[in-house]
Amino acid sequence: MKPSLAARARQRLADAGTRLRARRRDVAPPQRNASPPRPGPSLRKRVGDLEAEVQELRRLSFRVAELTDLVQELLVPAATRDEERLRKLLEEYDAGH
Amino acid sequence: MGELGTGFRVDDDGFSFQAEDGLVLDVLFDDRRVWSLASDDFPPDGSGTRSVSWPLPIRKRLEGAATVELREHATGATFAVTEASFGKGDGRVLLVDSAGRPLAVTKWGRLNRPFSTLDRDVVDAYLDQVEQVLSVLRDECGVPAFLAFGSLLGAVREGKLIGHDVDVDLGYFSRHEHPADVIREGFRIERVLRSRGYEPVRENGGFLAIFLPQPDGTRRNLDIFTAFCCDGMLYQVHDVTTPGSEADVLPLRTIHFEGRRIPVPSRPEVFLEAAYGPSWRVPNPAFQFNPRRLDRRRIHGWFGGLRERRDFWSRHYAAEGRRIPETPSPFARWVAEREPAGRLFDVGCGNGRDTRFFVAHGYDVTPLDLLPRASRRVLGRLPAHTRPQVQPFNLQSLRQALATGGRASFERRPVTVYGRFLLHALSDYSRENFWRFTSMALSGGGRCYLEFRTDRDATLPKAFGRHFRRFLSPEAVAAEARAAGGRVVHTEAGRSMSPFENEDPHLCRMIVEWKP
Repeated sequence: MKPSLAARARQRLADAGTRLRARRRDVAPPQRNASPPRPGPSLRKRVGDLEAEVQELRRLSFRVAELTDLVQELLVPAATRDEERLRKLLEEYDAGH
Repeated sequence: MGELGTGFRVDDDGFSFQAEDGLVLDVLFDDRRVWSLASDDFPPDGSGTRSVSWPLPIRKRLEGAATVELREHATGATFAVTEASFGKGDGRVLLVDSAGRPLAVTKWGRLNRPFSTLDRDVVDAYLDQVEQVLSVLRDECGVPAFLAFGSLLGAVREGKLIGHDVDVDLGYFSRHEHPADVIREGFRIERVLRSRGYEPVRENGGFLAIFLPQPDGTRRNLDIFTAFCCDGMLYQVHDVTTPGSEADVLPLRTIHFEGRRIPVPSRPEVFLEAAYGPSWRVPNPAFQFNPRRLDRRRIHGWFGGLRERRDFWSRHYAAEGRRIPETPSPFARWVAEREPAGRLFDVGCGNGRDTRFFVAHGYDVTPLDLLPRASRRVLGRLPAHTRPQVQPFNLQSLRQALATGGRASFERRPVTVYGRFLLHALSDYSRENFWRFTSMALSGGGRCYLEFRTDRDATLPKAFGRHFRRFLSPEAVAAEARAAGGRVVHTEAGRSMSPFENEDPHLCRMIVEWKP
């Protein structure tokens, strides 16, 4: 016969308690008067490396903007194969910055 | 040297005084303000004395006598005063421009003419120009534009320009949220301004400077800083990074400013507190922007990079221009022996010494440089009808490298790319762009001639001292040239190629060829 709802609830609670007690045994108790661990050189280096990587990604915004702008301003005349217009646009674009 | 009981002592190197923290002092020569400082920036020694060195622009002009006064900015009261004599000069110390107009040191450490020294009609003419730029931004660029930074501060506090300020700052709000889109919109705005006759200079992805001609023959700049929102933060290049939203900017409102009504953000205090701190209401001519490292890196990462070393080269040519040789370099003569007169791009032409040589020998030269004005004197000696126009060329700009390379590719004939003492002065990224430009320019065939400091030059004496240089091995440069599609046809390295004053650098001369 299937256990009652109450019995199943009691069993689930008991299982949770068992798991909690097992976890407590695995965790070392905190030591009195211990100072917090200081970040070692490897952590500082990792943070420095991460900062450099983030900065590199940020710089991509400018590159993407530049390339998009260049393509957008010059692509249409290039597609029309209007060489004279393209040459003039290129001259204006180059003089523009 | 002067001395007064307050411990105020003045000499050619600087001055010292005793004062508590938190004092903002104006420095006056003969009753005219030349600089301002904050006592906090000069910690006292054991005897309570603070020592201050003259800023370089003042130090260079210290000849003669002056009544030197420290005046409390907040109250106008004299804090200390003394008579002082400097150098060996007669007369009074003159901190004026070539037309005799008074100058003062700005917060950026340069001499300029603050608004307080200008006639009213000159200020009004400048403000008319400012309003014209505001209307172009609003009506033709379609962006809400407003007063920013120092101008916003003066407008909100007192309804007028801050007397010791030297320019007006404007901002505009971009509705884009990604920096790439904000920057791209800025490129469009720059083109619109240029089409209306302005000459904007792009300082970075979110900062444009416009130099406006003034009735007295000078030019005064107007700076435009981009603002935008992203992920709950309000940003304005360079010094506003704060929690905020579009509602802090829009709708714009107008306030009284120098007798006019000028647009400002909906909540200007948000911008002012972010830029100047909680005490923004207290005037402080010695204020220095000091953003958090985190915020500075973020803004620079998104928008910065175009000005790498430009300020150094500008100072270098101003200070050392007369020392830099103006006769043709040995390398120019070496190239002329190997390359018949034809179309030539002098990349990084510097003071123009080699451009002048090539023009005189019949080459059709396009000189390119980060600072076109550096070659004004040397190229000015060429007859007007042969004098080429130096094209601004910033290799930190990918757009410029590609556009200039694209224009050069229209030559459709062999050309020469000449780069003397260029490669080692470039960042790695600029050097990549140099190769991009060169491969495009030589798409019709031709040769690239390079002379650069090698890795063996790193520890050798330098006539102009230590500054940024990337010492490159010839092998590494050859590999880059090949990766760009060129073929190295000549390499030689050693000394005695270009001795100058106390240095005989270890150089490499390289010829790289491109076939059409």
